[in-house]
Amino acid sequence: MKLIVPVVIVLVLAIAVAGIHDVGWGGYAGEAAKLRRSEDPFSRQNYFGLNYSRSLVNFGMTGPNYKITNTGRRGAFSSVFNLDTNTFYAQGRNPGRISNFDPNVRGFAQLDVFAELLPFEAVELEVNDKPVGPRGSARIIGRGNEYGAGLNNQVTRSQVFIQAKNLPPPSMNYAYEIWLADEESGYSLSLGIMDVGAKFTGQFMMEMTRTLAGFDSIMITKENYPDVDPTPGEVVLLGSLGPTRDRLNMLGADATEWLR
Amino acid sequence: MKRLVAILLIFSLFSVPVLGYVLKEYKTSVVAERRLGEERVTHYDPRVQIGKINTVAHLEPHYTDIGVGVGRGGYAPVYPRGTAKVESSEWHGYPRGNVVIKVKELPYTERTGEMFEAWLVDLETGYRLSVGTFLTLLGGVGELRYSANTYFDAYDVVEVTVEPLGDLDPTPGAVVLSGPIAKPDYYNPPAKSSKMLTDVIRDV
Repeated sequence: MKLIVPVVIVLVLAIAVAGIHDVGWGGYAGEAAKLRRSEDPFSRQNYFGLNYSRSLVNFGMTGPNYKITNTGRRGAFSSVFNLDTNTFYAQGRNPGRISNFDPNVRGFAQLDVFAELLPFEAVELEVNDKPVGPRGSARIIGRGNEYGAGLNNQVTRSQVFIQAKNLPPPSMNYAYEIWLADEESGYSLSLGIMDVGAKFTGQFMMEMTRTLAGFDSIMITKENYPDVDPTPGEVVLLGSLGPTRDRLNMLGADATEWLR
Repeated sequence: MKRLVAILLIFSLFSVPVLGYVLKEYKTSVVAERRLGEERVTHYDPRVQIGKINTVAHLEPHYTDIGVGVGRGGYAPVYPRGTAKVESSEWHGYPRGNVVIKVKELPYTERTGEMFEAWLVDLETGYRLSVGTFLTLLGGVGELRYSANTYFDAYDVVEVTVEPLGDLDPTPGAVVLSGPIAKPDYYNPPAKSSKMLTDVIRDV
């Protein structure tokens, strides 16, 4: 018991001495580590040299480690690093840089068509000398085709978006139905029933795993609700989908002007 | 003894408000509902519901191709089949229909270069509603889901046809599977003529 006090005093002094001499506990800190680092051949300065600064291009882009110089940044055969546009950042809209970027080369097939829905029958109502009748717009987006690979899914997914206005709300026994029509075969594909809400506007969205590229027009009809007959009824709005953008127009956009 | 008396006193103390709540003679702020006499008459009939379809159509093959090398000591026979779950309901006047088709042992589409399309067919008018296309994996396993704001009361048969990949022609190809949709049994009793008001004229 009597020795405890002297032992404690000695310990405290030892700690103080250790702190003063900056010995630390080994590892990364302290004078010993500093000396060690200065003499270590694998320390940063010894390894890389005195005036070494890291290059902007990452180490991986210089090629493989076994010093084959026909790849990567130092290679003469690299098409990526020997272009006019080879900079470390994108040149954006700099006209001085040649760019072969084509946004139509997406890596997947896309159908994106828009159709304006116009009234099928003549509009009789006029407000301020302007005809007021139902009208709307439709957009069909489809992705994927039969050459499915990578981003291009082999199962085509299509979405249909429709907005319509000035549609009088149907009475209790009627409903508006959306159809896609193919003129060649005469087939009309029903997409579903659209509800008309506040301010006589209607919105419709539908998604299905089927290509909708073969259809020529989109229409909104007035059907009985409930309806025993699944075929289309009285057409209220009709829109033509027109040719799709995946066909290259060889003659140019103004072909109809000069073509006889 | 004292304990028993105390318990009885407490019980009777609490029973006073209970009696006041239950008995009609006492006017209290908390009143129990009286469900006697005329108030018990209700016209609720659980059989009368909105028109719903919730059925599974079993798809049977239209062709027999058990495969090559089938039989004892060889491969197992191939029997294309599937199910189509057809659901159709209504919510506050908005119809909603779902179709889930699952098939197996159809030809592998990666090898044949074709795809399958599913249809709902109305035999009366001959109208066919395409519900989508799907491909099959090795083993002929395929699945298709369709959901739309529509109802399927008019359709009688589910069919699966084979189409070329990337087919833009909406007409169907050869039928490979088909199955009937069980008609729902709606409880819709005719109105009793004795109760109908035929002499009421309404101005619409």
